[in-house]
Amino acid sequence: MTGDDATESGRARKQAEETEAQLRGLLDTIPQIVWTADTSGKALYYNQKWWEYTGFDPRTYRHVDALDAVHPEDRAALLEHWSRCTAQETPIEYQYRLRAADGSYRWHLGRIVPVRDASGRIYRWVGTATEIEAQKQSEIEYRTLSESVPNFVWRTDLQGRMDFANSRFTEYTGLTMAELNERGWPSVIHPDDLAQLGESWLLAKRNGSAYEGKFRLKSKDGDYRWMIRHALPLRDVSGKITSWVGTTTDIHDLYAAKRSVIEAEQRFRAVFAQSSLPMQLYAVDGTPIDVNVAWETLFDSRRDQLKGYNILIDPQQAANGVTPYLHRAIAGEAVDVPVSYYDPEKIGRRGRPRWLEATFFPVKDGEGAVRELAIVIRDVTAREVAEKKLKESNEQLEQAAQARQDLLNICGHELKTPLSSLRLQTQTAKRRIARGDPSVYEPEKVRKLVNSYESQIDRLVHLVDDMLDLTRISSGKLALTPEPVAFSRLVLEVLDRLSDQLALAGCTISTSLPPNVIGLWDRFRIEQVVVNLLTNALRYGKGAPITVSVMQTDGMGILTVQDQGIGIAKEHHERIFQRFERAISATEISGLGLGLFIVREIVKAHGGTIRVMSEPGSGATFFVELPLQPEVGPG
Amino acid sequence: MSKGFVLIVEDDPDIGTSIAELLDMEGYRSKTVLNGQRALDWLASSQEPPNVILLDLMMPVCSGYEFLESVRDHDRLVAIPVIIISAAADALATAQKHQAGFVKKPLDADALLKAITRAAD
Repeated sequence: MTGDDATESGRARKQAEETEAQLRGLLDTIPQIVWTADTSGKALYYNQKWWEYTGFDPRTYRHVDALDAVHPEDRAALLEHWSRCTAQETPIEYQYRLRAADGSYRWHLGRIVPVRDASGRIYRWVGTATEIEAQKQSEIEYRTLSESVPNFVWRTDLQGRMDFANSRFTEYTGLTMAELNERGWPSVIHPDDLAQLGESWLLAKRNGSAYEGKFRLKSKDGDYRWMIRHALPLRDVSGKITSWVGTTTDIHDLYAAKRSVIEAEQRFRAVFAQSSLPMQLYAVDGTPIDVNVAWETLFDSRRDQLKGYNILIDPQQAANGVTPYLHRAIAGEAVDVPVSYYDPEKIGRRGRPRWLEATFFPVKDGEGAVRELAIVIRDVTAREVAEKKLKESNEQLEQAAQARQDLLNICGHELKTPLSSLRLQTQTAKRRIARGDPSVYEPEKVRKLVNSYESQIDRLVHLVDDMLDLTRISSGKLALTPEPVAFSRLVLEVLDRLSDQLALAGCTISTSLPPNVIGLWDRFRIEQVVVNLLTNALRYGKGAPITVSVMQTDGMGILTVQDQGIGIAKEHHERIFQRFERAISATEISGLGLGLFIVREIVKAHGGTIRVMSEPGSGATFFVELPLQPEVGPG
Repeated sequence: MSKGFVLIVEDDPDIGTSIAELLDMEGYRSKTVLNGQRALDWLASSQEPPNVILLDLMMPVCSGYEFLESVRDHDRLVAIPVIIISAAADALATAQKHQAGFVKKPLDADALLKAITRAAD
């Protein structure tokens, strides 16, 4: 070493020492802790701040004491940072709590940077520690806040990697913060929801706006639950987005409830619309809400035609006794309504009248209050009609049975009447003969007796004929034997045969009997018709003149028999043609009451009709119309 | 001397005549009316009450049944013996109900006369 060299080196050392002193002075003035260490980690220097903060005594301080000042919970991590730092020879940053002179710990941000020589070799480490207590407190506050809410709270970086999540989130997903950071969202989002969620995230990123989205999030048990998430961008002072924060809320139960409400509504709609049972929905004030297709079909009406209708004031519902059932249903009771007959035309709607059965039931809300009235209708028209027919046919059967019984009773009575006379007259004559009473042989007495016998026997024959005819008609065996019959001639023959009786009754006959009215009829049966009508005219004609006429119109032969007797009230015009009926019961005229019944059956069998025009006191006119060429077959 | 006076209530004139003839031969006097109403009318106006009433049941205007109901409350009329002459199914029951005699149709002369004799005594 030369003197110059020594001088030079002395000057340089002095300069270096001055520089170092200046530097130390400078370092002592800054508010951060600064230290240096050699490559082995041995501390070489601490600035004033260190001594002041830790309260350590520089005179007795040893390097290992530095770790004493670090919070015991942070020591392991700090040592790990240090060893990684020295191994990788890269600067590091870490947070830890450092004990102050008063014994309290404060959060610090530590930085360690290697210092290299000209050859690039590390020969020192420089470290700083900046107090970040205030910042850390605020972070803790936010973290605590995030734990206190029932939602998931999280933060992602601009790439969507999660760098913060509250414990609710990690507990739910069963993923650690590191796993969330590495794998991100997609691993716990339902695959079906990923695309839609990704789109809204991209859109929010592009617009820098808040966004929200619904999706299913997988729990640690593997179940998916519906969530809604809201996210907002965080910006720095320059307005640049630095991260995204958001909350995720479990809406599964709400969503499920809402979905089940929607599904229930859809289910109801489907049943309502597709049901083959006609249904209606009414508001509790009686105004219609809806009807289904089956209802529209049944009543041949559209729902809009119900406008202005109110079931509670429908007079037909009231008349049918249905209204009280409506009120019961509105009061909350499900009721079955008995069959009623409803005619839509009565309230100006279309559709045929129908027999309807119904069930009314209240539709209640969650609180049990009746919100609507539902009506299900069953169209029982076919059943009712069938029942009615059955009832009618039963009635007919009963009537037939009754008629048979009546016939037996009447036959008994009617047959016994002439028999009574015959028997008494015979027995009386016999008594006279036994007593030797000669008057019994007087010609006048004998003639009278024989005439009476003949009359009683005729009566019996007539009764038996009527009974046989009735039996034939009842069993549908009234056989006709058609032959050409000259109508007027037939009437004349009958008049001739009845001349004695006509004379006896004192009736005069005026006739209008044109020839050439010829029909293809059963002569015997048509004769029976004429005899019956003329006999009736005699019986009820009070001896007044009788008019008989025959004429022909439109292929019909028409017989008119008109008397001027007691007449028949209008209400009896149909009844007289029924069996066992007589025009008037207030007479002494007896018989089976089958005459006009048999007449009508004969006329019907010929394809003709019979009717009467009459009023009490002004006689009766019977019209018989017979087709001249009837389509008659045997039986 | 007449054996008694008989009111015949019968709607069939042939039967009425036959009965009247028989009674006449047997020494009874008789009057024939055609229904219950006429019988009531006649009884109301007649000075001579009959000893026996022969009553048909099936008659128009006022049947034998109605006649029996009508005389029930008349002390004077209800005392007159009634003989029902009928072929009706319920004739016997009606006779028993009204404590009347009964002869079935077709009428037999002996049976009828016996019934009248018994009733008139």
